[in-house]
Amino acid sequence: MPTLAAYFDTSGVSFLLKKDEKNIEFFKFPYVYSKGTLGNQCSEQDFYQGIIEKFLAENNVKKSCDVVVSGFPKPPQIGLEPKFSAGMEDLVDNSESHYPVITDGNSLVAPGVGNYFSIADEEVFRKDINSGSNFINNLSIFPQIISNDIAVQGEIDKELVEKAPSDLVIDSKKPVLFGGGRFSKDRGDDELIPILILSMLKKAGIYNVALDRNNTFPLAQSMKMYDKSFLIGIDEYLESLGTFICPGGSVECLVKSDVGEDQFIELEKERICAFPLKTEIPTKIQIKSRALGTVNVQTCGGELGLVFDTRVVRQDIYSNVKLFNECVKQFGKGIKAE
Amino acid sequence: MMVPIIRKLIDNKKCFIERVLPVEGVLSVETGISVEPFDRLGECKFSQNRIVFPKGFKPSNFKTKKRFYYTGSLLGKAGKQKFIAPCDGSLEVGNDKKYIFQEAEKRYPLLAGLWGIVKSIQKNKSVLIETQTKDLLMAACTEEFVSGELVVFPNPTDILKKYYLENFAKGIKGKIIYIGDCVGTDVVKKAFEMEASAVLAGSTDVETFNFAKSNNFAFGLISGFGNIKTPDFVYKYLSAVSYRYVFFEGEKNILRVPVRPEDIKPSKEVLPLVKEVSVGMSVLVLQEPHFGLVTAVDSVSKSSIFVRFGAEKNSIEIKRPNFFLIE
Repeated sequence: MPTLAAYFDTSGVSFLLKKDEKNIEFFKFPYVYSKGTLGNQCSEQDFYQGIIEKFLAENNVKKSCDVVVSGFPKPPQIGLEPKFSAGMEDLVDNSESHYPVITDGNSLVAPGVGNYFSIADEEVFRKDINSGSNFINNLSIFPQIISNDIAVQGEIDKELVEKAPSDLVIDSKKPVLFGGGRFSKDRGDDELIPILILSMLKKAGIYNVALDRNNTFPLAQSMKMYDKSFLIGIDEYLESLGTFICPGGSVECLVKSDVGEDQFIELEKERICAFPLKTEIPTKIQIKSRALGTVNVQTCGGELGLVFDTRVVRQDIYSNVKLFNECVKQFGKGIKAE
Repeated sequence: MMVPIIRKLIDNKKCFIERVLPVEGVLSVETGISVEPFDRLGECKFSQNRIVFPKGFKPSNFKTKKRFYYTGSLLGKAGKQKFIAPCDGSLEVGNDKKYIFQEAEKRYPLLAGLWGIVKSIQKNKSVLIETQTKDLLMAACTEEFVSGELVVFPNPTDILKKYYLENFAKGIKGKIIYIGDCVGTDVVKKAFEMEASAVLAGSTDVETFNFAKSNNFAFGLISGFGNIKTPDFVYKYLSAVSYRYVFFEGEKNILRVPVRPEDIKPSKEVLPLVKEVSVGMSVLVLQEPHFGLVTAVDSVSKSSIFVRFGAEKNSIEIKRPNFFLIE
């Protein structure tokens, strides 16, 4: 029987439709219910039921198919009886292959962090920090909208980082997966993504970072928790961003290549920069720093390649205008070049 | 490309509205009867105004704990300021030594305010009426429930808004006022002080909204935050139903405008919540610098649309989800 997994973020809905063992597809519907847009027509439950039924009809799947739901932070009422339902905390705590960091842009959930928080809960209506655009306040009416002003988005990200729990220490032993509404929208301000990620990496270490642009993680994880026999290699659906190297100070790095010449990289402290690297076969790199010692890793790189962040004190990038602008310029090139 | 549809004004073929007496009184209707807006449902008697005097108030000729004053007589002084009784009523002093002037009890007639059928009655207190309404969606509002006569200002300029409040609609107390495309704190403060029931506007800034919220004042925005115009069709509709008794339901983001049964379209069709976007459809754009404007789709691409504004030659790309269909 076909199974539909639906994931409800605070700004959009994603679907995974499994028609049979070999036929798995992902879909996105970048709108959500809000009283200010749809309150006079239907309830939240009616809206989501309508969306799911429409989606199933368009894909020639019967309404009686199994439905699995998940949500950030919890799934909403959908008017249908789901076979399985899970909140984001359950999903991240059950992740084995990755260390997921899921954020909708206002709140964040990660394994073991335990406390879900929301900027919006504290003060929905606040003065726009950076401009008279009222963008943030209008988010309470139209939660799905995307700012075309990089400064406004930067301020929202900054606030997220500031409010993130102090016990959020990202585990570098597993590949780190950044997902949720903040990363799955087609925004056009991708240069801000590595800045946000670097701001969340508080501990010196070497992190393999991937982006979940289709909300594959919550969809696949909820499916796996419902049906233990469901097999999916989620790496196939993730976007590898690269290896983020945070040596806690100056660093020396040797990139060994089987094809061309080896490359030696030496960086002073307080630098953030990216070196393009994207290969099919894992490349060996040797890293030396005072905090990490000598470490050998293998990486295929990714969209950004090797990202070095040699800051000793990992303070806020957003408040350092010079550094922020350098990062925007550099990461913009890296991501847009693809 | 599927996109949800915002319908600012929708027909509500069946809803229930409760009309309540402020205090217990006598109801003069029975279940099952039809009512129209000016039909009297019942009445009660209660004091409809009170004044709390500031510290330092010294009453005039006040020897007991309570005294009756006729309209125009001197109530007392606070410093050099004289206080004259605005109506017949009694001055009282409380245990906290605060002086309060209560207007004498007056008859309060409860009118139906809508077209409908009485469904149930709560003895001496309220009447539940089944009715039909046009529901106007408010993008944002405070969570208050009030009702009152709708007064619609002709979208005045900023300078005129306060003047209109003070002079155009004399005695705005208890009324729901549509003020204009954009409203500021001074105007909302004035309306609050003048005891309007509610204020409606196209848009406002966050300070003004927070002022209304913190004072539990009913305040509704039709378009959103910033300086966003009220859509023309909404303004035209509000103008057409000016002076009608309306219901501000803040918890549901709705302004209910009672209508006659014949004003509701008889269609049984269930309106879709989402539609495939196509050329010519009306869209609400949510992307700067055109945030809040309504225009038509010029062309459609895979994940965006192209639109034109006014006489502009070039079309502008608006990416999904920065727009809604609007009907």
